[in-house]
Amino acid sequence: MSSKSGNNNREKFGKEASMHIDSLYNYSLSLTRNPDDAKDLVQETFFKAYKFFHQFQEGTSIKAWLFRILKNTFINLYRKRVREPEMVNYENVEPFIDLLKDDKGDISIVAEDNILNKYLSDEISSAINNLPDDFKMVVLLSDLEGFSYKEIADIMDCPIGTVRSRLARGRRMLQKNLLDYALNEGIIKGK
Amino acid sequence: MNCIECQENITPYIDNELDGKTEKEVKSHFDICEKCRNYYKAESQIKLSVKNHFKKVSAPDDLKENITRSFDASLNKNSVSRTRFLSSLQPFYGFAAAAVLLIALVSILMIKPWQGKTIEISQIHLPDDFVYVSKNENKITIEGEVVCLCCEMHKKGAHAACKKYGHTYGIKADNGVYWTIMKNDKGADIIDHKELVGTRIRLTGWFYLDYNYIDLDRFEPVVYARSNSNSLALNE
Repeated sequence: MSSKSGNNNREKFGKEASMHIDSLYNYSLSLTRNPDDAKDLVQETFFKAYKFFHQFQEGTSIKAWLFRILKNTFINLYRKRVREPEMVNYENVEPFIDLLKDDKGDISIVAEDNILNKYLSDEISSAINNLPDDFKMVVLLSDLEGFSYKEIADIMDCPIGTVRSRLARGRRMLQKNLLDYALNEGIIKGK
Repeated sequence: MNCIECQENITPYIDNELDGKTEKEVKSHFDICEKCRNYYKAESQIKLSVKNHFKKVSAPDDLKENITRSFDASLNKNSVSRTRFLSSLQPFYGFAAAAVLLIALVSILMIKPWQGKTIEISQIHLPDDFVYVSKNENKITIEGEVVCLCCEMHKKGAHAACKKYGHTYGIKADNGVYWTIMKNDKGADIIDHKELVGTRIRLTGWFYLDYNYIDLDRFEPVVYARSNSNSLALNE
């Protein structure tokens, strides 16, 4: 590859990559929970992307590649430093409806379409930020960024089945967190 | 399809990840089972609310500028200077230093810049008062404070003019010996970052004792846990 065509590819890559800065920053902020760390993480991601540009496979998603670099960087550089979260068995998080049943004795409330729209953005964001990293990552990649299971599996270096189960459990945890909030705020009335 | 099978497929159903056949089966189960339908509604509400209500923020302008600038530079040079990226060391030394270490490691693996390096520290006679943290093959690790050597000498009356000609960065080791950081790509990580002056770092490099110069390999800030720094302050 001549250096000129290499530069053209690079330029194309740079243009598209820069469109994802906001998404990467938001993701980074959720992972690090600190604006300075988030900034460093995104910068480092782009630094690596430019440096290892030759490893990028034409025809694959640039966005997914950037997210993958960011996630690896986060795990290598950052997560080791922070206290590992307490291990909890999240298999046993009850489904939303079962929780409601305990409190209300029926599940009719779930059928109301707008329940969750009553939550404020802040509550949704903090509920997501409070998820354990592995679950937070897949929930954001799927629900916010719209990646497919295959892309998420590539980003996370895990099988598609794991993506699927983490998503199911992650969303369930979110439901529980939001439900606790809703009960406290009187959005949903408990017994 | 029974309820258990259906519930296992709700998540991929919501995400459009099922094959046509399974999707149809799930759908027709929903028609006859209110419980599963409600599970489905609850989970898809969660997905929707993440999508619509997650509070998005814009990346800071300086971050965007940095990224664009370094990209332009990489177009011209076909390589990226890593120092350009370490813009905000101050608030988060640990992370930045870890980044530097990682990059150092990566570049060692990739280009092996010191292959064939001949200097052998074991052949060098170390003075008795030489204080070091560790010694590994031909590299030495010491701790000390980042200083401008000329500013330090200026305090003692030297005719230094750093404001006019620029600083000369180095490290004041714990035994009071000053070392100058050699100007090269790695040294630039310290030299380019004035905010490091006055901070304590742990530094590894090749020591040229006759010249009091360090050919820097890597460094990391020494950050004390809060409780330690309190007791340090009390001791001083």
